[in-house]
This record gives sequence, structure tokens and C-alpha cells, in this order.
Amino acid sequence: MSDRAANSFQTTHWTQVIAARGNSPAAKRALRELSEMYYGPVELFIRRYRGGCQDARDLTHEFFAKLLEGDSLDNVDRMRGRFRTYLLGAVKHFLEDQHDRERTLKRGGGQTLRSLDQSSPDDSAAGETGPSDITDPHGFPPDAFFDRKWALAVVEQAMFLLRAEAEANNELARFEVLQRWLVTPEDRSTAVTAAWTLELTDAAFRVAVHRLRKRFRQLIVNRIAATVQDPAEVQDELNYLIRAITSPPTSKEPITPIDVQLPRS
Amino acid sequence: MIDSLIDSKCPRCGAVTDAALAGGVCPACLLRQVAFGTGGDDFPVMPWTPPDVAELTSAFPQLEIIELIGCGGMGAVYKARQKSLGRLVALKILVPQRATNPDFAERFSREAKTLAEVNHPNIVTVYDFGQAGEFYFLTMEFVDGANLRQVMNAGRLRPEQALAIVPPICEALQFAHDRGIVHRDIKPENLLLDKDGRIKIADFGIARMLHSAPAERDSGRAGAPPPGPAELTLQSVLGTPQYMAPEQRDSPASVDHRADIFSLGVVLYEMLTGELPGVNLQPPSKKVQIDVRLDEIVLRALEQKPELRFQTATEFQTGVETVALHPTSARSSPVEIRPAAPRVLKTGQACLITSEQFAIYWGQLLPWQSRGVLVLDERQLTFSRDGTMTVIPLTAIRALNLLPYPRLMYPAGAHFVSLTFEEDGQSKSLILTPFVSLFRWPSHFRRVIADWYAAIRAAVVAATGHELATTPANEVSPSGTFRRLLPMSTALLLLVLIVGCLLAVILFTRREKLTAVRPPEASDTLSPSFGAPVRQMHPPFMASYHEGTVELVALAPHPSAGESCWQPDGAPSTERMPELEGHNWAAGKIVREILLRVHSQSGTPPSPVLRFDRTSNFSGMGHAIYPADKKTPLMIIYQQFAAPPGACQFNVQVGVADGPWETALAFDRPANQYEFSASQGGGANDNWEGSVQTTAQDGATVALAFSYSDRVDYETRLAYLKADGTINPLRGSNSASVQGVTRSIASLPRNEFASIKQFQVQRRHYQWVEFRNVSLEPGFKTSVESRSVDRPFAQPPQG
Repeated sequence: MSDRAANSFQTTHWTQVIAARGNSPAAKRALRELSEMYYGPVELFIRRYRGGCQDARDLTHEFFAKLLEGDSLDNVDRMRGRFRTYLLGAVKHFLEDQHDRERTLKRGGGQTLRSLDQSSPDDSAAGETGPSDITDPHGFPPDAFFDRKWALAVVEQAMFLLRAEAEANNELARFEVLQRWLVTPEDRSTAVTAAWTLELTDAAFRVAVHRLRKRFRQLIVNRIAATVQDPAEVQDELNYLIRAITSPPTSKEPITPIDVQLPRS
Repeated sequence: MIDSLIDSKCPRCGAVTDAALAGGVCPACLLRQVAFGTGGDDFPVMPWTPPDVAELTSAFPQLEIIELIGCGGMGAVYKARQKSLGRLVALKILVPQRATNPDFAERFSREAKTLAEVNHPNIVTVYDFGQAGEFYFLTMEFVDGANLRQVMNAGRLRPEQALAIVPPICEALQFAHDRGIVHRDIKPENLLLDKDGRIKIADFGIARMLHSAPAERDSGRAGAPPPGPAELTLQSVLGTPQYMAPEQRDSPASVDHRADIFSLGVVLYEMLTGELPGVNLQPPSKKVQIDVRLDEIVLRALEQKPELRFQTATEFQTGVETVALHPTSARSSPVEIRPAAPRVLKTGQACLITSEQFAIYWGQLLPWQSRGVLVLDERQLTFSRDGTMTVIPLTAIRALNLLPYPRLMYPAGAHFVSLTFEEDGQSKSLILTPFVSLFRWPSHFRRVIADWYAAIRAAVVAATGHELATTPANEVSPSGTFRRLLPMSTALLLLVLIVGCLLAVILFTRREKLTAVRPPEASDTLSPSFGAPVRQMHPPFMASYHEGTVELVALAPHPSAGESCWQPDGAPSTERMPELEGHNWAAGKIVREILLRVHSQSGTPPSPVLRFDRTSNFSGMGHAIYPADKKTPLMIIYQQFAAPPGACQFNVQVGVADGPWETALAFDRPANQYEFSASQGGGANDNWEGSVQTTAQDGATVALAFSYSDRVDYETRLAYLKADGTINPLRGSNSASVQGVTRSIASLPRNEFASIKQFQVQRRHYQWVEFRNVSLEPGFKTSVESRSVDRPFAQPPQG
């Protein structure tokens, strides 16, 4: 995964997808790669939505299959803005369709599927469902939930790549020590110990830390850039993701009204 | 380094984290570090988290904070309730400003005051603003609904709906533009729709509050160089990139109301097509099924050059309404009286003045401070200048004539167009001189004017359907007045010539010099601010001080590129102003540039300072100082300043600190010590203090933080005395002056620092000369005087 993913940064661009409206082969490939990276948040969101149902994984599969087939005109229409918002919108759309389908089946006397309002007492203990999830009239969990997991995915994947690069250069042991220095710690005196551990001079240690931070930063920025339309948006998205990680997912999100009366001419 | 795998703490924030992720660093801190940047790259801003409700509740006791509604690049908005009135308000907290934004407080209150006066049903009203604790805030009307972005995301708008949204926005924009307010950040997120279907524009002027133009500071101290390219990009372009007019990106400070029209055009395009206008602009009718006439409207609003767009929001509105009200295509309607967007026939530059103004100009020059852009289209003649616009509908024009300037004014022969029109029942007349570069043959000049005359005439005939009367030549005031004045003025001219010759002779033989300013000890609070007697001046306009001379060289309009300068007495000048980037403007004021030269004979570089009369509403806006060097023995000072409109002349003071430095205060540096300071009180006006502190020692250099007294009447600095007897000033960076003390940081090589025996706070007295009756308009003749003064104009308190 490591070298393919490293190369994929150049080709994966959300802008490419938008420009081709998901139709060209390059766009389809880009969409597929993006989807693989953000599989996690989607699955988590679906699982939370489905309550105790064990079919979250199957549904996630189905969702991505549909997305990549590109058969839904609705999705194409929404292809703009950031990939994150697009994906979340697509997931919600998919889940609603699913819900409708299940309801008709239920009425038709088929297998009784579990309705959304019920939640298994065993699963709520595991934190899979939350009583405060019924903030949305459609029963979706808060967007913040998705966003938080998304932000974590970004960080995890960047760290994974960073580690893979270190491993490829036979510097894994060094990396294990240096990685804690990706942020400036409260207690800076530990730098002395760290440098000594790595048998580096003060100056060399500082340089190594700087290089690693720079590379990490590049990875994160590339990741984010791949999901937005305009390079100017990267900073904004970064700030948004930081907020998403730090605010607890159960915070209430403002609801987007669909029904607004427009001015009469 | 021993880290338990099970329970790791983030080294930065101490939160418990998953060790498998990054050796125990928490993801939030990782991303924050990324946002913080690795220095010298394009992410200068730390992410800002909006304050939580509890923090705000204590800062705003009069409000009940309900919840956070939204958060953006400029701040965060909360829903709140005013306890006293029980009404819902929106509380906007602005992103906290730091040292990069020194006059934020002033700008904030100025902008907010302007906004609070804007009262329109389609503009979100500002109720209150100010600072509560650490927060800068605004309380505004709470709009219960959604913003246009949310509406667009919910589903595609029908064209009728999009067209219904635009006119109220145009009305609101026109309302604000008429008051000189430009929004600069029109985008769907800032257009709110309430439950009744009313649209309201939010966040007017917020962008201006948060971004400072580098030359807006009235500093006059040791010259700061003009802003370099790096600073200007840090100035960060106002507005949201996709909705920004091209001039907002390229020259942000020269933006006017037409940038809003562009942004609204982008919004309309997006509403109709669902997409943003891309690099290859496709007309909307090619993307969706809409009336083709809309193409013209949208594309005109999206013109790259401001002069080609709709010049007012009302024009845009009219265009949109015309299409909306007549939904059938243009072909089917039998009579098209007026096209939706009038075709532009001719554009160019011209000078426009009233006939009364004409009489003032002695004019070897054409009246070019009244130069602006003239646009003739099928419906009207529009003249725009300095953000104001004169619109003359073609149907209101009653008479038109092409007349020659009096030969005395323009011996080579030139013409002007005189125009009589009706406005509000009154008959008015104007003089229009289409402008061409001075460096052309008169015949070319004549042809340009004749072309304009013919074009205007033809357009009026086409618009009204009948011929136009010719303004009788003798009725036009300028020639008339001039004819009356002619015999008088020739006599006067002769008289002046004779007297001038006499004076020149006298001056040459006497070479009178201005008395120097008294030495520092003699000046005190008791002596009046009238110094030496006033002296009439003739070019060159030079005033002396103890160690040299100050010459007032020239003035120019702002921006001065391509414009001519004039001498302090109004006569033309061949000087050229230094070219600097950027365009300053001050609401409701005219901006001028002034050039001075200082010739010092002391051998030590002088420090000049300019002072303007704040009580008469003049203020300095930014300056550049070019020190003397091998190529130019003179130091050049260039300053931009703002003047109240209608002012024709003004007084300016120049303070020069020159000569040797005196020691006001000295304190030793014993070895092995890290902090040194001293202070000395000498009464209310004579406190001196200085301090130096080592902050870091890093191998080869020593970093210092130092401070010293900052005085209005002296130039001050901190210097050090070395063991070998030499004295050097400490050159600091990141200086800031607060309450009479300047703080700065510097670093010295270790050896240098080790050789310091003593620190000294040094001073040099400012000597002031005043130039009076300096002309603010070219051709406006004044009699310039100079005198020396003890104290400059009063300035607002420092700090």
C-alpha cells in the first residue's frame, strides 16, 4: 500500500473528479482512491446510524459500489465543494434510500427488518448508539461524528506514510524517537536526552526534527489539498478538521433547513 | 525515553492518547502544529477555536448566550438573547488580532460606526459593537433562516427564484454604495434568507476591519521603508477567492463598489448554473435552460475591467428586473424601447468641472485634479472620479457646444465641450475636457475632443429622437467670465511681472536666511508656539535649521503615477514622485503626496518627521525616507496624507533631529549579569528610562530585549559604549511603542556583547519648521510662508 499510496498523491485530485463529473477513467480512478482512504469514517457513520444492526459493513460496501459505478445522477449534481461534504451527503442520501426500501419491504410483508428507532441494549453499552442521535429529523448522527473520524483518518494515514518512509530508509528506530517531536512539547529539556539517545548533536537533532515536521506537514497538506477544490481552501479545511477533532461528537449541529420561502418578485 | 505502550500522554497537551498513532502524540496537537507552520511558508495563522458559551457568558452579562451558530475565517457567530429587551440577536466575535494589526482598535470602531448607521431592510442591522474583555464583538440582527449557500445545497434554484433574489440585494448594495461603503465579500454565505422570504446582506465591512493597509499608520519616527512584496501578500487579499473581483486580487486597496457587482455576478451565475464561473467563462444559457438575455446581464457583471461592468448596483437591478418581468423572449415582444443593458459607445478620460470652478484656474494647465473616467453609453453619460459618480441621462441634455479655450489659457489652441442639462427641474452646465496625454500635438488633442463632441451629440439624438440645441458661445460662463476678467488679468499679469523682477533682484542681492531654532535648553512650556517671524517664500522653498536645510519640493495627487506634480505655491513642477506600490484612500478625504529634501551638513544622518494639523482634519498616511548616500547627498522624504475635501491649501510641519546625540541616561553592564536597567525622573516631562535584558545565548550570538523612552520632542535610541570607546546604536526589530516606551529585540555577536561597558539612552532634539499655505491643487496659487516653531501641531496621545 505504501508506494502506491505515495504515488497516488499526484493523481488523486477532487478537482479532477469534479471537472470530469466523475465520468472519465482518470476521474473514476481518483474517486476510487479517495474512497479507499475515507472508508473508515463512512463505515463508522453507517454503523452509528444503523444502531445495533450488524450489516454496517455490507452497507458500506454497497454504498461505495454504487458511488463508483457512477449511476446516481443525484450524486453527480452535488459534485462540488469539498470531498468530505460531498461524501457525507452521498452517504446520507444512500441511507435514506435504503430506509425507504426497507420500509416498503416491511409493508409488503417481507422480512421484518429492524426499524431505526429500536436499539439493542447490548450495543448501546459498547457506545455504538447514542440517545442524543435523534437530533436530526432523518435520524442521522451528528455531522461532527463523521468529521471527527475523517480528521483522524487524515492524521493516521499521514503518520502511516511517514513511518513507511522511515522504514524504507532503514531509519525506523530513529523515527520512533523523533515522532514524539512532531509537536513542540511542554518540557523542552527532554530534547537533550533525545539527542543523546540518537547520538546526534543538538544542532543535528534540531535539523532532523525540522525535516520530519516539514515532511509530515507536506503529507497532511497534500491529503487535504486532494479533497478540496481550490488550494486556497486548504487552510480553512485544516482549521475545520482541528475543530472537528477537538469538539466532542455529541455536540448539536445546526440543522440545514430545506424548506425556505424565497422572496416574491 | 520510556513510554508505556498502554497509557501515553501527548507531550504538548497532556491528553491521553493512543500510543499506536504517533508514539502518543494526540492528533489535534499534530494538526495544530501543521497549521502553525514551519516558518516562512504560506500558513501564517494559528487555527482559532471559537470561545465556548461559558467564556462568553461571563464577558457579556447583558446577553443570554444560547449557542454557536457558525464559524468562519473572520470569527464566530452565536445566537443570543438580550436580557433587557428579550429579543434575539446574533453575537459576532472577531478572531483576536495581534501585533500584526496595530491599529485594529481604531479601524474596528470606525468601520463599526459606519455600519451602525446603515439602516436598510435588506442589510443585517448592527445594534452594538465594542470590546468586552478580550473579545471584539458586534451584536447584530438575528436572522432566523438560512444562508444562500444552504439553500443552494438543498437543491437547485429555479431561474425565477434566482432572479427574484437579486433585486433586493442590488437595492441594499446601492444604499450602502451611496454611503461610500463597499462590502468586499459578497458570497452566498453572507446572504441570509429569513422565514418571511426576505433576503439580508450580512458582514458588511467586516473584511476591512480585519486587514490593515500597511501605509495607514501615522508614524513619523525613524523612517520605515515602504512595504515590500512579502508584507503585501501577508496583507492577505480581502474576500473569498472564488467570488473576488480581479482588482481585489491584484491591487486590493484600489477596489471600489464595482467589486461588489462582480461578486454578485458570480453569485447569480452560481445560482443559475450550479457552478462557479471558471477560467473559460461559458454563458449561463449554454449550461442551463434560461432566457438568453440573462447572458448579457451576467457576463457584463463579470467583466474583468471594472469600467466595463454595470457602474451601479441599480443598473444591475434594472437589467435583471427587465428580464424577470418580461419572461417571453425578446423576439416576440414587438417594440423594444430600451435594451436591458445599454451599449457602451465610448470611454475615455476627461476633466469635468463646473463653470464657476473654471474661473479660479490661472491655468497653463488643464484642471486635472478633476480628471476621471468618462463613459458614454446609449442611455447616459457617466463621469466617475475618486469613488463619486456623475450620471447625466442623455434625455436630460438640453444643449451641447464645442468651444475654444481662451487663447491666454491655452495658446496652442484647445477646445472644450460645454454641456447644459436639466436635473431636478434645474438647468445646470458643465465643462468637459476629454483628456489626452500632454505630450501630444494640439491637433491630436483637438481631434479627440471633436470626436467626443460628435459622439455625445449623436447619442443624444439617437436617444431623444430630435436634434440638440447649441449652447450659444457667449452664454457659456467660462468665456464670459474670462472675457470680463481679461483686461483686468492682463494688467495684473504685467504688474506681477514688474514686481517679480524687482523682487528677484532684491532677493539675489540680500540672500535672506531664516533664523535658526533656539537650542534645546531654552525651550520651555512658557514660551508661545510662535517662533521666529513668518517669512514669505519663493522657489526654491527652503527653510533652515541648525545643521542644514529642509526643502519642500513638490506635491502630487494620489496615486501620482503618470500625473504631474506641482510646487508648493501651485505652479507646475517637473519633479517626479517616487513610485511605490499600493493605493491609499481615506473615506471622505482627498489624498495627496508630498516630497521634501533635507540637506544636512552635520555629518550624522538626520531624522526627519512630518506633522499635519489633525485639528483641521489632516493626517499622515504613510511615508518613505530615502537616506542620503553617495549618489544623492540629500535625504528625500515622501509622504502620503489625507486632507478634508474642499481644502485648497494647508500647513505642514517638518521636524528634524540632527547633529550629535546626547546621552540622557547611562547604565553600566557588569560582567556575568543578564539584566541591566536604569531610570531617572525629572518631573512630568522629563522621565527617562532604559533597560536591556539577555533572553538567550546561543553559541555565537546573544539575543537581547531592550526598551527605552520614546518622546515626542526628541528622537531617542539605545546605544552601547564599548571598551574601545566607540558608541553604536542597538538596531532592533519588531519594535513597538507603548505609553512612551519603545520595546524591541536585537541580537549581537558574542564578542561584541562582551566588549560592552555601558548602555546609554541617547536623544536628539527635534527642530521644527512650518510651511504655511501650501497649495493642495495644481494651478491654485498660494503664497507660501515659513517659520520656525517650538512645538509641532498637537498629536493624539501615544500608546
